Amino acid sequence: MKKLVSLLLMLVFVFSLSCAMAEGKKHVENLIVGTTAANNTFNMTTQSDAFGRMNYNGLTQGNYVYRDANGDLQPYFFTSYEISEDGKVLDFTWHKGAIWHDGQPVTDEDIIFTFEFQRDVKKVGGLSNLVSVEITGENAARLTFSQPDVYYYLNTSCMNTACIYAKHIWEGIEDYSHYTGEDAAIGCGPYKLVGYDVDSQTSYYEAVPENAFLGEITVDKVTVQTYADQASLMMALASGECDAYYNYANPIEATLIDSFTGMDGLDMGESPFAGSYQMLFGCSRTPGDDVIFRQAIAYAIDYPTAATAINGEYGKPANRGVLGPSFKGFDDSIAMLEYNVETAKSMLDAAGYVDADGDGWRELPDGGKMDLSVIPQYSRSMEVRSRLGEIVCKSLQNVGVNCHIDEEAIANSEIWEDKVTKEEYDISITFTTSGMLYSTPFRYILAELRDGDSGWHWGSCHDPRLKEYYYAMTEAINDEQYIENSRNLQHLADEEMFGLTFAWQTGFFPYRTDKIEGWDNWQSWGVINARTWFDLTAK
Amino acid sequence: MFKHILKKTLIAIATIWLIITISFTLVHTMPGDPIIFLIGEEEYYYLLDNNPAYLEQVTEKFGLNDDLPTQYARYMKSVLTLDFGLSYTNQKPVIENFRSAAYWTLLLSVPTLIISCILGAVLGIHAGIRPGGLFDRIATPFFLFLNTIPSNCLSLLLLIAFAYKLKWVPINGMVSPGLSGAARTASIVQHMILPLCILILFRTSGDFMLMKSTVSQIRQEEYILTARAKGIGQNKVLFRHVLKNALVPYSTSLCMQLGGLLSGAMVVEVVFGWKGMGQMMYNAVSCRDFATAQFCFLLSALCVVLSNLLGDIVAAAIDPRIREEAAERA
Repeated sequence: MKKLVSLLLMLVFVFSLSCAMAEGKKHVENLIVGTTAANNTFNMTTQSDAFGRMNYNGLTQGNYVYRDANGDLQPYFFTSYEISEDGKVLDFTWHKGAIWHDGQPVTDEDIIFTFEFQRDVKKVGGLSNLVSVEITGENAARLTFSQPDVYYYLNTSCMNTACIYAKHIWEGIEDYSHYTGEDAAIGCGPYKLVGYDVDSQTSYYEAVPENAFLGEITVDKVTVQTYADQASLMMALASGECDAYYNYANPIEATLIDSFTGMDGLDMGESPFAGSYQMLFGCSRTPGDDVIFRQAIAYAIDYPTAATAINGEYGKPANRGVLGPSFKGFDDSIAMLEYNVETAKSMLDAAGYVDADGDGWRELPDGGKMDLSVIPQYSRSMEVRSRLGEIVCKSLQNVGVNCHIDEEAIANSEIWEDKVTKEEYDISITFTTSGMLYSTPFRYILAELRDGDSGWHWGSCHDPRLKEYYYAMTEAINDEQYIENSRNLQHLADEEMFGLTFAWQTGFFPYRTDKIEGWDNWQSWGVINARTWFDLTAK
Repeated sequence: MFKHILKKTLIAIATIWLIITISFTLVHTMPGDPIIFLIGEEEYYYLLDNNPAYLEQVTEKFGLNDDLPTQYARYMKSVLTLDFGLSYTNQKPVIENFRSAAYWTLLLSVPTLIISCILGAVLGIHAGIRPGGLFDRIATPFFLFLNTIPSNCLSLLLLIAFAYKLKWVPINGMVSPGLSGAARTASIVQHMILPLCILILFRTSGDFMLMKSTVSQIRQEEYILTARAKGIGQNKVLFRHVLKNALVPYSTSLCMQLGGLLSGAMVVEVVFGWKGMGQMMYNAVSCRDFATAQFCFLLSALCVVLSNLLGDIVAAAIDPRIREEAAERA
């Protein structure tokens, strides 16, 4: 009898447990994402506006892969992928049953069209060496390159509209980025655009269960709401009008954070931020071509003031290796940058940079006058860069080095571009976005690109090791090679001091915690990411 | 009178042509490469690395490589045919963007003009007719103080107080999403309240100061003393003599304000996320959207010139001295 009762109780327990499990996750009915990007353009071939930026997270697009919280690539539209040992072949499979948002199935033709369209029409650099795209089986294909570009292509493209394109929509369209047809927003991602209101700057998305790439889609609807500025958005977030903030590479300004910290149900979404401001030396002319001079000046810069200017109380001086903790291969053995005026002065004295004529300014070792030009990078919003330029000038003058801000360059983008590409500067202040997590700021420290690469450079260091390590890193066929060369670059930066990062920043991507759970705050990215649609649940 | 108006009209037309030419020249000599803002900084650097040929195509497409005289001739032709091209930022015709933005700006500017005109006049007369009186001692410092506060500062303070803390009005935008019909109209009105109040306050302060100083000056004129000495009642003196004379500068000021109807209140629109002409102009200048910037400058200039012309006509209609002077010169 006792045994019978025990058995019955056990059966009841197991039955209850399975019922609870079968009930599944509690869906979020509508996730409201606040942004300051405009809600005007809905074209999947561009990165424009809120729509383009939300698609870095695979909202409406079938991005091949995504970068996870640790910075590692994971399949998204691809169900699996494999890179050959020589780095020239990519084999991949994709989701069966994926559909376009107009109801058409994703076909083999779409896969072939996607890579040919990107190579031949969009002229994506990473596909310039693509030789063939072939279907190798059911939902399986192969890309073959003439160079070992696979690793580089996947890593640099995963946030640049590297997704599947519908042949029946995009075939024959040359001016793709200006296409404004109704079907310009159609993708094969987990959500489809169902409407937008330009007057209220709102766009609406609904889940497409057939495109549940990472498991069950637990957010039924997404609303993207644009706000006039970050202050309005923070007020809306604090009031519960929206659930989370997202705007690629643009964390909430540190000056706003203190007004909202500690509020119930609001998490500031703090994390190390990979975007950073750099100072590059003009290494192709005197005195920037003297490594001792560069090393001495590295001690003269007022890093605490620079860190405050960049990120308020949340900025921290960086180390001598350029890269911060968010970057793969970050080497924490490299010494921190040190603000030490006396060390700077004694190093300059020892190197022969003394005030020979008594005018208060140091001269070159050969007696020539010295008046360094400092060029902040030209940009639409260059307040911080200009302020950093002032801090650098003050720091240099403090150790007796005369300098000036190049007023022409900060007033005119063409003049700025001309000067930096011709290496006509002594110190350049630049900014690298968090989107350069893979390529790193070293891309913009390069003075020479590899043969066949188009584009431009801001750097002036012609040390062959810089170019060698950089391309070895970006052409790496596995993580180990990437990390090894990333560390080589950091040590080279420490040794040669051709450039430095002013401060490591803290980024804030706030979100509410009172109604929704399952948030995962990715460094430099925030809680709105490729996994959001599959991990969030309602409380 | 007719010759006077004709002369003023011809001057206005010549002024408009000059302004078109100057605005074209100014916009094309602005520092900066428009391409970098045509497609956004990030996409610009990405394309520069991966597809520089496409950048060249874009430049060709918008004629940015042609010499200035060619671009000018093309521009004059397009102005005359009301074809202002496509906006660089959203690829829609500039005229279409203007229609949408103008609607939202007029929604704020027309009620502002009407209400502040009436309020400014009534309060100004009341203060001006009894300078130093209780009302004057309260209203004048209040409006003076208001005039000195930057509009962006006041806008933000009121936004925090009424929208964020008290939640009486929405925080941002022109309308709540997902509404139609009467609900949408009500939502627009609700969103309008705060920016409208701020605009009315600022405009009224200016109108008040003008009317008050004009009335307090006129009431000391000899003809007013004569009218009172003749036994004419206070109200009749006010309406027949004081107001009629005060209307000349006041109506001229109102005509000038008409010229600003379509310019929008840039600062208020930017703070409240109101997608009107002010915001459109702000975005056009900051994004180097040549087509939209040129159109905005032209429209503003046209409105100011026309409002000046209207002011001249209204002044001539009200003040017989102006008509007689014009007739003598003719």
